[in-house]
Amino acid sequence: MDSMLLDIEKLNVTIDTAAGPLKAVQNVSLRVAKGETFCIVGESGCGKSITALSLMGLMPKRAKRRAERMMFDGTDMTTLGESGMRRLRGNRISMIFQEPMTSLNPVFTIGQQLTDVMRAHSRVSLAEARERAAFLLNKVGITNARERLGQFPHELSGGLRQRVMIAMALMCSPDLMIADEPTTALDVTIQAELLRLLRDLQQEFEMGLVLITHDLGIVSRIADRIAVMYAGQIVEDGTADEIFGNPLHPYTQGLIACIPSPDHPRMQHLPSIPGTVPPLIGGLKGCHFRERCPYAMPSCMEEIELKGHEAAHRYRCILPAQTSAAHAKMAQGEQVHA
Amino acid sequence: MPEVVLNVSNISHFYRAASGFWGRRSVRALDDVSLKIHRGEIVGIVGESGSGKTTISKIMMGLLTPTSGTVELDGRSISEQSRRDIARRIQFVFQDPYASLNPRQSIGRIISQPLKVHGIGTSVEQAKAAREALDVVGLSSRIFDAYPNQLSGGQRQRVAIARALILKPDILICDEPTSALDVSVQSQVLNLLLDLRKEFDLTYVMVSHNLSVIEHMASRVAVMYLGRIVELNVSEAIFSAPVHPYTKLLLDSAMTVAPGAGIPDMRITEELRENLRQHPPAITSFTPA
Amino acid sequence: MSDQTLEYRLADIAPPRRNYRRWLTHTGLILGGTILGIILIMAVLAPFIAPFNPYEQNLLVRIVPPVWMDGGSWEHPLGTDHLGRDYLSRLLYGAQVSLLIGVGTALISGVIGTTLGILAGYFGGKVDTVITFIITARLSMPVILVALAVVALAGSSLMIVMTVLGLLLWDRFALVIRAATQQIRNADFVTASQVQGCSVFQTLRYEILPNLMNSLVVVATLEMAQAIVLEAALSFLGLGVPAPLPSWGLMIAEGKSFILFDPWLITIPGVLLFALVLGTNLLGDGLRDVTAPEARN
Repeated sequence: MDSMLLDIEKLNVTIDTAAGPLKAVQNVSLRVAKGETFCIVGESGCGKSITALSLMGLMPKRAKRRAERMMFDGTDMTTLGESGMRRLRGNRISMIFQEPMTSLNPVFTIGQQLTDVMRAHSRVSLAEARERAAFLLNKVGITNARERLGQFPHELSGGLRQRVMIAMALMCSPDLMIADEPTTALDVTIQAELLRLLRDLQQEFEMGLVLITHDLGIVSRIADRIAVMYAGQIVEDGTADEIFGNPLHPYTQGLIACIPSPDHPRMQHLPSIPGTVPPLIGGLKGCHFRERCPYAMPSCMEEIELKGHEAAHRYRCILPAQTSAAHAKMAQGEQVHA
Repeated sequence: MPEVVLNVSNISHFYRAASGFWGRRSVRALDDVSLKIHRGEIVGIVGESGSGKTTISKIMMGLLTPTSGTVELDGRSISEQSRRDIARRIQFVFQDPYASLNPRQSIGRIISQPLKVHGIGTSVEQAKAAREALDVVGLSSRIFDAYPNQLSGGQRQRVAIARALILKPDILICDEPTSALDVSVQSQVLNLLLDLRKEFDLTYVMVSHNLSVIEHMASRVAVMYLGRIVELNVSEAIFSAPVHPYTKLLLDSAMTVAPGAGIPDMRITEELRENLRQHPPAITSFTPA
Repeated sequence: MSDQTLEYRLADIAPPRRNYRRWLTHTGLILGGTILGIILIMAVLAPFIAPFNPYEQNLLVRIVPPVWMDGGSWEHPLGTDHLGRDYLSRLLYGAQVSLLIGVGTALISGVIGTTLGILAGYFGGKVDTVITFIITARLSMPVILVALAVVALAGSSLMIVMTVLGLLLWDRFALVIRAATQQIRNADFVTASQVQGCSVFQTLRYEILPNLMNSLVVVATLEMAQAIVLEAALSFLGLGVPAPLPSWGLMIAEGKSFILFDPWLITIPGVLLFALVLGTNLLGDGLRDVTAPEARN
């Protein structure tokens, strides 16, 4: 698999806290091809954002990263060091964050910020950089691009700011874009516009896109491949068709079932996953989802590896056959309990 | 049709914006909003940011005095009623359970505080009522002495609901009650709200930008845009046969789980957006009430 | 309801208890607490452990050096001053004066500053304008000059020094509390208390004040330290606590004429004063770190 743009094998991130080591990311392996949209789905605290940040080499203090392999387009990122990573970031890998209000520096104009990114990585004249900035602002659907270059972030609405962030991420024609909840803070109509824009740009520039979100609706519509994370681990990954058409892990099934939809009888109980995400401090044994799982049994106490074919569908559970039969029932709104 | 408990009529509200050189400018948040809430229904208010949905919920609660118009609770204007009287009838559940619970007070203290403020019962009785309220919302009374930071988001929202219920109100206004919560916890809280409604005969006003939550929960829906109610109808009708172009836009852009459906194409609706800007929306459909 | 019974099992939370380990592992807190504790014990036990009456003069044994220097003796472990009073006894009683000044001043200024700060922060608008003006007016007064003038006019006694300093040092309380109140005034839990029907007083008392405790403790210790230093300064200038009373500042002032030949007369009370101020500040910072429930997990 040399054609892989991003190839991560067994990534682990541990954060030292006052209460002990917190294993935020455990043995996460993922591969993203050129032009592919890879979605990482999960709830808060599952480790999806930390995974993204550690891919970029941006990690919180007191966090330690360990990986068997971290290849980006043929280069080993673990050997790059800080200055090498800085050359990659913003240039070949770029990132969009959730909060468009705080991701732009309020004291510089849009134009300055856009051109700075480019001029930090390549020798281009200011005029050329401004030319590209105007071109990209236009591309992300901002009218009067040239006037906007002279404006300050506070003069723009949230939706416009996030467009500027996308344009900024595109300045150096990256090969890989990592977007962490890029539309969560925005209204639904703007969200749809921006995601469509993101997908069109990705296809046009043949970028790899890693999209991190908790919103299964978005994932179902945009993803080529999906990794579902729970409590620091990937519990299931595979193609979008497989994950939504034939979810095998009880967590994925529960997550899909508990979204309100017209299929559920109105004003009646929705299926739900009881309990809450376990604390990651101190480390968990066996299946992390065990305590909330309707099918839990003694053998779930043992360590479980991802099973299945990597290209199509993998899951971290001992009972795929039974769970998939039960899922059919669950989808019809019945609650399943052990 | 059951009686009207909360009657919002012709509410307009202006916020004072920063004063410029030519004097104060004001921003219109609500424009002639009228809404009748009947006993036992769940009214959903949907809209995007700036639509005025949060402002109207604060006005219903008496937390904001509107520039013009009246809100009547059981036929009496709430501006004539004291805060304490309103508090016994209408309670509020906030969006962010991390911000709505005082970090310096224990859970038991937070839940029993309304009783204390209203001087109901002795402190022993108040504590007992708080433990019962914890039970009602599905929490163990072991957390009675815990502090909010020791609870998860879903547990905090349950605590907030317990606090809202302890005065035995009739109406609960929920401002985005699940939008700060994870999906798997969201359905737990929605189920709880449905159970409580049956158990205590509650009337809900649910404000949300999440259309699927509103579709699942509400019996009647008001769609707000730029400070106006643009469409008001029973839930089935709104979601199966929307009339107002903005409602259609909103429904089209909602991203429900639909593998392979792709991202809705908003380029067509960009014209529609422009259209909406030029022709201020008016109410297009009513419930016969 | 099987859903919820399962929830019980999983939502089980260890019964909350304050994590005293945090208290015991905070170096600054331990150090500050120990220093302040020792000085407090000194002050409380002064009447019982002082070897001599601190006011008793004995001109026959003037300026006896402490025991570790040539000519010192165990009769006066820390020597005697220029009037032959036992230095150790005066230091022990002096601790009472310094602590009293610190605590008293912090209390008076705390009440004034917190009240003004909460009102300005919570109500905003005109109330804020007026109170901000009062704060600015107070800030424009030079503390030491005003204190000197008032003490010179009203005469010096422990009460007067304490009151004057209390009336002068509330500005930091007011500014910090005002800013902190503004921050939490719009928090949802404050709105929630209005939803419950709380009166303004109840909201301030139950919702705002508990959340100001962190800031209050820190400012109070800073003010205590400042008051102790100011009292020493006033005493040094001859306008602090009146002469026979053993204040550490006064002892430094009285020792200043002997600085060339008997520097220990200044060094000993100086070191104690330094330790007291340092201990107070360390304790304040430490308390702020460990009391925040946000960090109590």
